[in-house]
Amino acid sequence: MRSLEAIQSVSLGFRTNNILTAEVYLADAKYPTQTACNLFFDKLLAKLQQLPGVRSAAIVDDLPFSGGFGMNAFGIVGQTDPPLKDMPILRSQIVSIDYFHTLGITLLRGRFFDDQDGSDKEKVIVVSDEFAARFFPGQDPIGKQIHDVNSIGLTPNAYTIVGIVPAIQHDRPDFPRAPHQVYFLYSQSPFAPRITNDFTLVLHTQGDPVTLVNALRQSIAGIDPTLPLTSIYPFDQVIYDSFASRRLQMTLVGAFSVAALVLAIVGLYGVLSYSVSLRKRELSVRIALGAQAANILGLVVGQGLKIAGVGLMVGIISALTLNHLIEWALFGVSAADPISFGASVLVLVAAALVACLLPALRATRIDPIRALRE
Amino acid sequence: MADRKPRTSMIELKNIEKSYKLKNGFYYVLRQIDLTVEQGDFVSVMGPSGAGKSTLLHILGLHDAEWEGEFYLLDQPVHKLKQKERVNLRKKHTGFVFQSYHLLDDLTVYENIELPLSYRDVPHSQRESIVCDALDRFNIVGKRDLFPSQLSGGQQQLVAIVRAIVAKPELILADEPTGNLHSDQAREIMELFKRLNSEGTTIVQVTHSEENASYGKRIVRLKDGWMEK
Repeated sequence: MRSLEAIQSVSLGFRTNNILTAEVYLADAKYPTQTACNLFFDKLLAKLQQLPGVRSAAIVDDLPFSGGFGMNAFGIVGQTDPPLKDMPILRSQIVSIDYFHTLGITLLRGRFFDDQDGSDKEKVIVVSDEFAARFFPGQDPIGKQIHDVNSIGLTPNAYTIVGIVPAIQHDRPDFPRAPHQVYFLYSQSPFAPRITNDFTLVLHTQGDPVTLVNALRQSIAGIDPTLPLTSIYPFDQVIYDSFASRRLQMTLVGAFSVAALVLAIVGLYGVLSYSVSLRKRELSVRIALGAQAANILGLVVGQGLKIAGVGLMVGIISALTLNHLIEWALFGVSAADPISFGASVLVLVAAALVACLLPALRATRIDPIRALRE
Repeated sequence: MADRKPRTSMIELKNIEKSYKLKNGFYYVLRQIDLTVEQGDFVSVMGPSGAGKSTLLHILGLHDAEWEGEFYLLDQPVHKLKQKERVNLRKKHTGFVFQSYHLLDDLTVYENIELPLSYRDVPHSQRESIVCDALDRFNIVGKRDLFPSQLSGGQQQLVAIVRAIVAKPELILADEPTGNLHSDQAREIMELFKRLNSEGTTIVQVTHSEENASYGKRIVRLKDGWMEK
């Protein structure tokens, strides 16, 4: 539970609320070239920017938390490239100009993409601070160039770094963060001649993003009535859904824990009830000798807590010994987390008290005369 | 009800009745019992089995609260007291000796004798000296660390009696205290009761034995729940 809380409280590095996302796929038959695709998105983005209730609109080929991320080998211009198998891999995202503004990703140095970065201009990229620190340590990365790699003998494209942004959490925080994050501008057709025709629309809305779904559909239909629009979700729901397996894991662990706790309570209750029936004569003698209800209560509860204490000690030692087995399932919480251990002990002691209470109360109601005569 | 005059009696029973509800009415165990036991008295309650002797003793010992009538213990109106007040009265003034000793098997002689003191909130340091005095007085110092199963019947009953008197109660109630003992041991126990009585302790014992009853000052006879006049 604390792992899930820790995962969900990690700063992702971008805005998730008031964002509407939708996938658009431009089929090869109708949009056979990158130019045709870019023309469509230019028109669409211009139209969406004008929609009432839309603050900004952008596209991205792989939306964070959607499971995808482009991986491309690259080299640094001015340096000798290593063999292809040893070349570093960057994690690419192809985006439109307003992507950073739409998702609220801050600029650390340099500049974002702008209208001057045309398709006929120098190809530019924005890189993450981690990328810059890794490949240009102690240097000013702005103005430095990298190049892509293709295996069909074409001249590689060179890209100039114009801006630095913080590395974002591209997937769930319990997965390793994608290193070497680099943003390319879709209008410059990066990685040409490869065509990128599968994008996700990202709209930053003034209010509830769901209210803009129909307007979005109409905008697309106005440009291409045959184009299907799929997977339309508010971004925070995309994020929420990505934690589904974690929540299921937590629910299952929780359910089994509750079942184990109930079994422990029933077991302890059974043992104590049996013990009280066996100790009836002893308890009767104690009552006859002056024991008050509180004395009897303390005696039986004490016996129950002793049993629970032994169980707790065994449990704590086992947990401390075997906790490395569940480390993989934890995030932001140590397997030997003292708060979790303390809370577990408190819950188990409370459960033990509940289990003890009924037999203990029954013990205080023993009729000593009848019991002693038996 | 008008306030009562101060009394000096240890026990005063007026019209005590005890019954169990059956399908077809009530089954009476005790009927219209009027009994006064003065301080320093030694009363033997006799009668055939099922006469109500033990029932009467448990009422006197404040173990049984399900009865009707008036019961004064050292001027305290037991019939008006709440359960907790009865327990406190019992702890303060009475000691009970059972026929089957009822020592706790997993406690030593010392711990068994200490038990009533622990329930009377006697501090630990005082408890130790009181118990050691009692062990010494009854010549069972050597048995202090033994468990009941390591003692003879007579020794177990002796420990049970020491346990009953260790808190210095004014009233000892004994339910057939020699019922499980052979005659020599029984005689020793009765001599002990006589000695305690001569030191001022009021004793009410239930017995079937005329010989044991003769150690007391008077005999109360019960039959079918009625007290013989």
